[in-house]
Amino acid sequence: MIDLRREAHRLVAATDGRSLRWASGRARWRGTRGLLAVLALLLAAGVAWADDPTHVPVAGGLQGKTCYECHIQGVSALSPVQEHSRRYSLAGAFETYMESPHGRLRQLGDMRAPMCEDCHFTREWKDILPADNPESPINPRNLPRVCARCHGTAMLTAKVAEGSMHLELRHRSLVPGAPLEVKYGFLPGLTKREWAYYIGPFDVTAYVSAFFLLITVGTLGAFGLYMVVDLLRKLKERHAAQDAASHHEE
Amino acid sequence: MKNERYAYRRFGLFFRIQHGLLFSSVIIAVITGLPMKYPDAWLSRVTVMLMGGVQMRAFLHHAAGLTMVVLGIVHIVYYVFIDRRVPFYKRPVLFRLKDLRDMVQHQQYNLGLRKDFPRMGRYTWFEKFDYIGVIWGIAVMALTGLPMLYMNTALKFIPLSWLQALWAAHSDEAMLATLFLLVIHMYHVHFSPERFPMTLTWWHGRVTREDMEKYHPLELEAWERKQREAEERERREAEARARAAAEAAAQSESPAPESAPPSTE
Repeated sequence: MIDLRREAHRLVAATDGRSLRWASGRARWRGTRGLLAVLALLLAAGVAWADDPTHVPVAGGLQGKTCYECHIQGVSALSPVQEHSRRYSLAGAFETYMESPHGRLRQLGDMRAPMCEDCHFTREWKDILPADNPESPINPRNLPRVCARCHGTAMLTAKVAEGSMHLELRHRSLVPGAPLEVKYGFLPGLTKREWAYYIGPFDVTAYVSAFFLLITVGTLGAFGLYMVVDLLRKLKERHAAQDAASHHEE
Repeated sequence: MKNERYAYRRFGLFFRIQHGLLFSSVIIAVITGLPMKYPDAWLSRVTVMLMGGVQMRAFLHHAAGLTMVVLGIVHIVYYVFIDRRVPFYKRPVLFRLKDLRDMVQHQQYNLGLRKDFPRMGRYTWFEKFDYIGVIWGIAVMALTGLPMLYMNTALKFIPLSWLQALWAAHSDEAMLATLFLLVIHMYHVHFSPERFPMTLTWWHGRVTREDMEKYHPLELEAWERKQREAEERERREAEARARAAAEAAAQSESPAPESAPPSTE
């Protein structure tokens, strides 16, 4: 049976930065399977694509909005139906990417910073698969190799899989994922996926942020209050001195 | 010619150079760091463009950060191990119970609940708070920034999630330091009615007598006592010299004692 999702993603890669119109033309030459892939893309891209077929550039980075176009924007444009949203939407993935160092650098104009497809859809791993699939580039076993492509061979032994790039700092929580079935022997009940997204006995980032929020509000609040009272007192003293000087002159 | 109004030298050249390097590196670190905290702001993109792109932003940020780290190490090493004029635990900059009292009395004075302004020493309680804030800030920024700068090495020892926690700490502490400097420190050195538009103490290291009388009366008293003692010592030494000179003169003026008559034997 043809996996439409897989075919659609393969087609996106095959377009190599050209428009979807070019892709659909190419697909027709490939017969029914290609057409089905285009159909899958049409479903995903939805109204946005239908309005302007040439407007859907693919595999072109953030400006091209490859994944974003279909999975985030396309979904909301296509249908507000919950079922569709659940199926095609990568809830929070884009927002959490934008909060990651890669997303931040991209927003500032660093075109070297990776986009979705750079980590999730590589030449070595030619399909977008969930992290629990051993064939997925973001599987904890494969992730160091994906990171090493840009960050060097030091990444091969780095603990990059023990954490997620999709860390939502705004809400200070981790993006939950489906647990892997591989269990750690020394931590009963913890699966590999949980370990990959597990950051200790508590959410350390959340506690760090809460601590700094507390001392920032506390310090600035206390000193701000002191500053206002001090300013008023000094102004009062200055007026009193000026009054005394004017009386003295009289 | 020196300004006679600023007659009291409080900070030496070495300290002023440290302060100059510190505020320059902090300003650069803030300007180059804020775009990473708020990358979606238009000003961030303009700032990065003006400084020559993301790579130059990173270079400047890291250079400023490393300057701060080196400065912190030099400061601690110098004042703890090299400058032994005062033992470390007796340094006047350390926070003591009296500072807590001064802080409370200062608030009471401001609120009109107390008549006299607290009598403080070489450093006021809020200057000490500034100083402790800088030490804390540099320590936090160094401990959280260096693992991010040397990410490949750090990730061999700590997981990615801890690096992200360090990023959150780095970013949040930077915001705390920036707001504190922009609001509180700026008030103390620029916007306070006594200082407006600014005090030049950071440049020449001197303060006025009024400043000493209000904020550092204990230091002024100690300084004047030392002056008096030095003058007294000088006066005594001058007197002793004069007495010795007078005695020497008296001896030279008086006739020499007659020599013993030659023996008739």
